[in-house]
Amino acid sequence: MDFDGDGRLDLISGSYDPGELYLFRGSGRGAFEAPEAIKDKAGRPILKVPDQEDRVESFGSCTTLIDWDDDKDLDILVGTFDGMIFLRRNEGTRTKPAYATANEWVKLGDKPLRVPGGEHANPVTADWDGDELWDIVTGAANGGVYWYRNAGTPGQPAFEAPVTLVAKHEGLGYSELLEPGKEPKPGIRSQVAVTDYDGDGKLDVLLGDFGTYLHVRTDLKPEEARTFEELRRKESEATKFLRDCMERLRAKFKEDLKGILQSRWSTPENSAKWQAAYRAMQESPDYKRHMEEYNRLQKEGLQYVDRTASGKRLGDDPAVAHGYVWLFRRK
Amino acid sequence: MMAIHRAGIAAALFAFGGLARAQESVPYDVAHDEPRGVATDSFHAPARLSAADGVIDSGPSWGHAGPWVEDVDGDGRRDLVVGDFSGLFRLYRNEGTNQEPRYAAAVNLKAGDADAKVPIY
Repeated sequence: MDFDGDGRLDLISGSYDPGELYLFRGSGRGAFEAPEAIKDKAGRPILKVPDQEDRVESFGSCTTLIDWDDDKDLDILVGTFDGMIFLRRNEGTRTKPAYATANEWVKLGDKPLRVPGGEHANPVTADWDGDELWDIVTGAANGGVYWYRNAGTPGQPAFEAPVTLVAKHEGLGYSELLEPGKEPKPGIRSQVAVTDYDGDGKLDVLLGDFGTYLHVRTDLKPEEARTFEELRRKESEATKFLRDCMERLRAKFKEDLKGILQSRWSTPENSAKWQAAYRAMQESPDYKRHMEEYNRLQKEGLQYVDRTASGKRLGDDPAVAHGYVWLFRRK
Repeated sequence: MMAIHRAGIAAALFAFGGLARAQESVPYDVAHDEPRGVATDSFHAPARLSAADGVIDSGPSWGHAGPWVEDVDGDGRRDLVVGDFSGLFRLYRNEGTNQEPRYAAAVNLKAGDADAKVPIY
């Protein structure tokens, strides 16, 4: 992407913590300069919460450039961790960008656009239906890919409700079983590129993913496989109980903190309250019992998993992470 | 899960997914969009891309592959760049054609004298 119209390819990227946007200026032939944070015209980094006090407030950004208002310069679109998209209008020029200091939230009708599943918007723009208006295509935490058709006019984009291009991933994405000889499937947290990959005149989708697999041993006897399956069933019951407990705790805090700025959450009182409630949950007999059961089942399951499969693990977790790039070639 | 109680409350709650942010000018309590239709039959069966050294996999960097297709080295062939959870960008140089890309093993994209990198933590 040529950020400043100098004819050289630049690289721009969002980031995770604290979510600033970065520009790597191209110096030609694949060479880039050291990164600089992209700033607005007041010299502040472009963030979801520009005046944030807590660095988690703008976590996880994903960005692209598009001439939103058809004034021949490039504006910035940013996808957020919680699935929304904001615009920073370029009030300068194509070669000397000067970005607005405030976010304009991309809307779907009257409400802010929020990707299905509600997390991890990573928008790119492309004229998916060939009607000469660019559309938004985005991945999501659920692994799906969604097309927001632009039904506006040049300079005044307006979006229709999304159409699913790639179905969401079925399952958690974490610790899924990969049976010997079986092919993986596209995972969660899809990040997309839309391009005519094979030069056939049709736009294709590249989908980058994430997930962790438990690689099942190749030499399991039928009765071992059955035992393992039963163990997995019990484990998922215990997991569900533990997750539901956490969900309830979270919902309670959501209620308690309603109306309070996120930057004010981390007071010593709130943190102490959260820690006390979390410990109380952990120490309740039901929670303890399910946690012990979960730990026991996990440990017992290890004998059925190939722990020599290469890859990255978290601590003792036998599941191995992956991040594939899937080509969805358009028919 | 165990580390969460030690984290700040905002980080702890955030880790469990998007609490309402009652921040002026930042939307909160926004409903998720519901798809109005599906066009999942638009594609041939998906296939994983490979490079000279096998299937492209950012698993060792905790996944989260983010692909980008551009002619990075200016040889007229579009290359593949894949970002991941290390904050680095892996460059897969296209040694084939634009119609049938064939990727070399990855090298880290450089910026200045160092690897190009964005902050993750």
